[in-house]
Amino acid sequence: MSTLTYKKVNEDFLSLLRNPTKAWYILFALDLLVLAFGAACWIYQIQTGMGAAGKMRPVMWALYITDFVFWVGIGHAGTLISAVLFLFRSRFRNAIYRTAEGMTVFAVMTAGLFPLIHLGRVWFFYWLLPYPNQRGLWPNFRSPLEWDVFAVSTYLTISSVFFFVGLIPDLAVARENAVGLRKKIYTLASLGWRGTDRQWKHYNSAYIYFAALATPLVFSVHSVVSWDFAMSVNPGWHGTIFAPYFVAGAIFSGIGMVITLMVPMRKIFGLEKYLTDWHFDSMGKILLFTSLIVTYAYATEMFMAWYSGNIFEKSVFWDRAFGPVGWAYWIMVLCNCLIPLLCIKKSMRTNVWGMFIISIFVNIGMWFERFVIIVQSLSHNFDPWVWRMYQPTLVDVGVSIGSFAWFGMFFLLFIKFLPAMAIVEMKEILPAPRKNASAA
Amino acid sequence: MSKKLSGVLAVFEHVDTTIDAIRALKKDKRKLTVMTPVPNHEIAEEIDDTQSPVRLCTFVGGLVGGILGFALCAFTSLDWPLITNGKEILSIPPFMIITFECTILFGGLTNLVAMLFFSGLPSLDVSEGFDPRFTEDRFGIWVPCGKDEAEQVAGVLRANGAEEVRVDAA
Amino acid sequence: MSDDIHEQPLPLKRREFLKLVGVATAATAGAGCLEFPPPNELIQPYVTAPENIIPGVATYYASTCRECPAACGLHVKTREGRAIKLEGNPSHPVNLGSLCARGQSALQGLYNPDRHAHPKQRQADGSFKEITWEEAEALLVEKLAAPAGAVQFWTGQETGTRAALYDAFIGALGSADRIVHEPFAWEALREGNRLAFGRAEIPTYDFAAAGSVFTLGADFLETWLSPVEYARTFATRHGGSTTDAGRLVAFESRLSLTGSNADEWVAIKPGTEALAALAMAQVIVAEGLAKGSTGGLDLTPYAPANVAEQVGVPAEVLVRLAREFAANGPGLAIAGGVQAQSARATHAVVAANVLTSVGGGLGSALHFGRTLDLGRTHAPRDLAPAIERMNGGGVGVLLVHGTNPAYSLPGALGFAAAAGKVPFKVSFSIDPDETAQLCDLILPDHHPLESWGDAQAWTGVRSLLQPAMRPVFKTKSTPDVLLAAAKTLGRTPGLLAAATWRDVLTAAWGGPGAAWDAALAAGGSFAVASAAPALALSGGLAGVGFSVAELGGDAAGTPLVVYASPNMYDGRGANKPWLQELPDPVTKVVWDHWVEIHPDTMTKLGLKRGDHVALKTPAGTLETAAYDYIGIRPDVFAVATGQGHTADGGRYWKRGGNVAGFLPATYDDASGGLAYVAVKTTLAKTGKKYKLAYLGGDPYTGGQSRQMGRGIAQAIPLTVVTGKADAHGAAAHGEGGHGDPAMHKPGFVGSPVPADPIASAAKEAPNSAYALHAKHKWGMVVDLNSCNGCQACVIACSAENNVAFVGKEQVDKGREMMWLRIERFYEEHDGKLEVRHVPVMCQHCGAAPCESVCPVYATYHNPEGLNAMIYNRCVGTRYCSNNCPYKVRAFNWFHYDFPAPLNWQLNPDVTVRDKGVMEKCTFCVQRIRDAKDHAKDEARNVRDGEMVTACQQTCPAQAIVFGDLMDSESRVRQLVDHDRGYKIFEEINTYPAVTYLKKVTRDVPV
Repeated sequence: MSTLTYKKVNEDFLSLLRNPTKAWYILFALDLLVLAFGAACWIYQIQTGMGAAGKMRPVMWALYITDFVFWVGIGHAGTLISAVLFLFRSRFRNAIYRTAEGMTVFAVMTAGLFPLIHLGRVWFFYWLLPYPNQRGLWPNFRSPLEWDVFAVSTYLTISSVFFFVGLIPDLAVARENAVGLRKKIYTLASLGWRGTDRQWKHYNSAYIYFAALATPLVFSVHSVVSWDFAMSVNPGWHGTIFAPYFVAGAIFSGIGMVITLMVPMRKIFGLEKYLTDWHFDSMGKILLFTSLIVTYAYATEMFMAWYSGNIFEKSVFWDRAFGPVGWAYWIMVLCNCLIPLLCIKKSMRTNVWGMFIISIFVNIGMWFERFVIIVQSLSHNFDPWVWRMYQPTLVDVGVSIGSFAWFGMFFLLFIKFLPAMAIVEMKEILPAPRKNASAA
Repeated sequence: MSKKLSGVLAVFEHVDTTIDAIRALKKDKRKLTVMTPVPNHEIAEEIDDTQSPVRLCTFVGGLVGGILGFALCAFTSLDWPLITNGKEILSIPPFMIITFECTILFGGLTNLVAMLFFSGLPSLDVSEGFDPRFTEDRFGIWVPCGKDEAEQVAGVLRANGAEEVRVDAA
Repeated sequence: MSDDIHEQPLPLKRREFLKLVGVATAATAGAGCLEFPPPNELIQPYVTAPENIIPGVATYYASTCRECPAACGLHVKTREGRAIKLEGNPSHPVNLGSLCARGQSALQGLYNPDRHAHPKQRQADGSFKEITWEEAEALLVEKLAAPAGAVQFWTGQETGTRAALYDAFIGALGSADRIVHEPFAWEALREGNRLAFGRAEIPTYDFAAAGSVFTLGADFLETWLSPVEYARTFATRHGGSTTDAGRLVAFESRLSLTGSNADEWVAIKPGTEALAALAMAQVIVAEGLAKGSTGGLDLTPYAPANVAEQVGVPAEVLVRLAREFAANGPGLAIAGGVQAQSARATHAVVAANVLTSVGGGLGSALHFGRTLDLGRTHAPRDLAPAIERMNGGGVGVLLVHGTNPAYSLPGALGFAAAAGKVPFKVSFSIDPDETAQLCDLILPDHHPLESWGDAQAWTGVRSLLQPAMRPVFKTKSTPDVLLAAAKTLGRTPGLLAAATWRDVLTAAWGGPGAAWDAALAAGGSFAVASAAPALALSGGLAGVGFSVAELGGDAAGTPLVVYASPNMYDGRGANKPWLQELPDPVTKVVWDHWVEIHPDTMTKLGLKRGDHVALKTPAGTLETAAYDYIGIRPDVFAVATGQGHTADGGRYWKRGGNVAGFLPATYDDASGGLAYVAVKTTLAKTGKKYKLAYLGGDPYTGGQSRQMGRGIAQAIPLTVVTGKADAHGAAAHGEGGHGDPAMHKPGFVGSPVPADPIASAAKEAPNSAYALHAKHKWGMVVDLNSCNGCQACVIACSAENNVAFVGKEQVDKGREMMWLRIERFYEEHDGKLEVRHVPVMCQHCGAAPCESVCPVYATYHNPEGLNAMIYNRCVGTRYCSNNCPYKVRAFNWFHYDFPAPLNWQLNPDVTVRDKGVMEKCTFCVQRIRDAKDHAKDEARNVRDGEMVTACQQTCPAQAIVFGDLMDSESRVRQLVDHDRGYKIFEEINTYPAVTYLKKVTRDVPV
């Protein structure tokens, strides 16, 4: 990177903000189409009733909660990379964290929809919020779902703020290089940042505390999500391992999604200079590490089911592996435990497209992990009399697909209208220009 | 434009030259503002090395958030005690989660507000003593001073290797 | 035909979908604003209050159930002038307050949306046109004045004054041609008793007095004679847990609900009931154990060794059972049920009586102290001449009331064709049934709940029918129509002179006055002859030649057993959504018709559950679905009556095939009753795509009919209860539960059943709901030893709590709404099949997992120990259901309709839930409220037994006890500590308020 200068960085990254090409518009239009389909499914479901989705007794939660957990999981890489790695002063963060953070915010925005979509009476969703009301009734703070309300909304707020604060100096850069409406918008958004010593001082201090606050938040949020299940009495859900297990899974899937998004970006915008093998190597290591944790969790679950001797647990886990949806379990094992093992080889970690393919598998695998945990456990509950397997309908599927379009919409807008690469922080890792280099 | 303070704005290409200039100006007790494209600890140390008060605000904000969070759970539960699953009305463990989340939420928000407040943001007019290049690859020093001193200050800056010096007259 | 009874277009229809995409794009464009259908409700206050109606206060009318000949007493609960629930009349000796599922569903007959709403006349084009009653009656009179031939009057079985009126009317028309056709008229039973005792009557079967009951195809808990009464008396003896507790052995080739309650099931070949009975009688006589005569019958030819082959049961089994029968006297053997109604049905009855006689049951378990009156009926064989008269053109006018021969007679008899030859046909039918479709004029009668009338149950027990409400539709009481016609015709002898049908009835009851009023209030006059006069077989049974019933049809075919559907009965249940959605008590199939085939045979035939098949007999073809049933002989098929209606009128009833229709016209030789077990049949796949909907999970997930050792329905051997053996001795019998120490499955994190749920739970969790109960802690005890799985409670619950019916598709998806279900589990030990029925409703846990997970407090533990569910707080996260170990919560996936006027039945005391909210059993909180209010009015505490849940109220076996666990005197409190008591899934520490008492099994040989 020695060839790089502050000026070069500016030029390269600002070039991302040039007006969209036709290809972008086509992509965006397609995305909106899919989104409309998803929205149609949801509206239909609201009008007809929850039955429009394939849920039934005993599987009262299915694709929607699967998607919820999936997206919240995705939402973890961003904050992890930007906050945790920031605290560790790990330099490879600077090139990828902006995209990762954007991804986080949009993923959480997507995840946040599902608790609403899955409500039987979504028009009363606000009853979940603590506000003084004529019913004199407050939410039940003992309910894991109420914890979700707080955890997810806090997470969304904090990660958005974090995202925005990181953007301020870059927006100032954009401001100085934009014209017309864009200039106005960037001017407002950058709050008149000038990069004075005073501003940098408070900025840096604040940024550390954001990181310091966000880090425990990352871990807490997915723990809370995991408790939606662990706090219940259901065999297959009721496990103390869930919190760490889910957090690891979240980071795993999050990193996976980052890679999935970054590889094409790197190609399209020619960012090879900035997103080097070294970055993918580092992400590959995290991927491998978290994959091993997840694998360990799967193994522990199975072992405990057998070791506990509790017939409910034994039965549900046997069914998980060899029951009617055993295929889903094995897809999960293949994608989450076996394929990531390829990352053991450095040559594989530094093979960008190889990593891309692995990351796709990871996304699939993690989605199936949630599906298996939620649907299979419920379908094979305490009372054999009510055992029944769930079949998705067009509505379930439509809404799930729509959620990807929803996420895609924001991401497409993001890469075109906000600095998708952290300009300032890229500069930070360049040597500051000196007259007599020897002094350095 | 008339409201603007008059002063001298210097543009530097290098960090070390900037630092020399700062030192020189400090010697004759000038108030000055340094603008950099990236945070630079050397410069920061030259200007002042006191701690930012933001962290204190954040701490207090978090504390208040935590207390409010717990209070919310506790008082609403007591307000209309409903038994669920034979758990205590004041079930501390679940309340801790809300407490924690509120701590983070309030901490984070106060952190933001404090940061903006102390760094004087937002202030959308950036024309005063500022040059777009400061967001790219140039370092700037802005020395507010009267017309009379302008020449002297400009001299100091040039001497320390400013590639360009501009005198903003009121 | 679509089962989609609530018009939920799933998956999306194309048009609709496109529409929505439009809306959606608008919505995504930020202009999306949804419109929800407005609630269609009308609230109208009374301007002038009607007489005797206090809004909010229920009025009860005593009446009589006409859903089967048993004639149980009813209390019709009316609110604001509408009948909303049927309960048994507690003072009626037949049912003592209980009522079966069919009886309670009469309400849906009353409010059936498909009823004839007005008189109709057939047009030239064959369609029906509404006409006024004036026109209709004028037309009737015109045709009767100058009939183009004799007048023939077909009616259903009538045991009261109606019969007299009908006879008088038909007589006045110069004809004696009244045909009485009742599908299940038990001809064989009456004929058999005539042969055995010289009395063609139905004697008293006292199951309470019988130490051993051997049933030879008599499903006395379902359809045989008087099921509610028998369920009660049977439970009193068999439900006991003492050494003299009754035992039941079922000899039937297909296991019925009754058989599923038997201590032993002997799968004999169809049509061999007589031989089986005689064989055992022979053993008893030969071993000198006989306590009664054999009626001069030489039994030696029927020695087990000789008949075992034909009966299809090893001789030693018959010998062992014979000894047990003799050892546990008095013995009662019964026969003559539909599934034993072969060409030898009468002989089976005689043989059963012989067995009863040698078993010492005569004069105690079986006596003629009071007889069940079935009135005069024509055996199907005797109908042939009548149908001939129609064919011959001798009949000018055909009147039909209360019977549906076009459906319930074998097609081979050709009723429909014959009716076609009658110039003018009049139907007084309530429903648009097959026979009504044939008629030219339809003069709909009132529903029995809207009518005056009476019926004879037993000798000395006369019940009254009185209108419980104004007619729902523009119908007119048939007797009144007939009286009016008689007057205009100027033929008014005897009864016909009366002005109205009510006068006729009142006169028959000794005229108006205090007695009449008392009878009305009581529901009739009940002079029960309690004496059990001695009884002995009349001689001369030697004359009766006992043999195996020959089955017609393809010699290579499989014998077909036809049994009476417990829900549909003879077909009159088919248009009642409650009964369609009520699972069959053993197969648990809903909304459908099926042929039962043994699993092994299924595999042999390459069939899967739900495959669409065609059964062929010489008389016709029956298309239905295959169901693998473990409770049937591998060499037999079985189908139920009651489905397969073909008339267009009924929206709920066109399902499966009509069994009676495709049976050949063969009869029981002796009595002329229709032989339901008459043919061998060949089975072929039709290849049509078909799906059966049933409860008990899905084979896709498997195993749902087994407990998998989870101790849901636990049992304990009688010998253990009575201390004859220790628990370990019985361990071999795998009682399928961990609750029983002997059965404790290793690896269960089991907590012992809390002897005192309140104290122990309070100790467990000091701040738990238990410690905080104000005054009451409602609890329930269900005795699995009494419960026979009849499901009367399920209908009672649905009726009381406005539980919606959802239709076949939705049940198939697992979305049934019922708050109470009977889980049916199979246990197999020593190759013996044992069936366990366990009613599962909300357990109202003391520490309920569902409560803490609800974010909006829609469900919580109320101070009286109820797991309260507040519908209008619910936002529908469905977490409560996910976290309920018992899965007893039902979610409103859609807005469910009660097609008018079915909605008139809704209980105003209970919210009707709309889409998006969770619901579940409330322990009938409205009834608790009611009881407490009464107590408050009388300034006292509620008394034990004052709060009665709907399920408990109707249970014929008295298996359910409900009450206050904090009242140390209450019955429920006593039973909670019962040594047979256990809680389902107690190891989860939910502290259920429902305690189950283990079933007592008898399978340890005495």
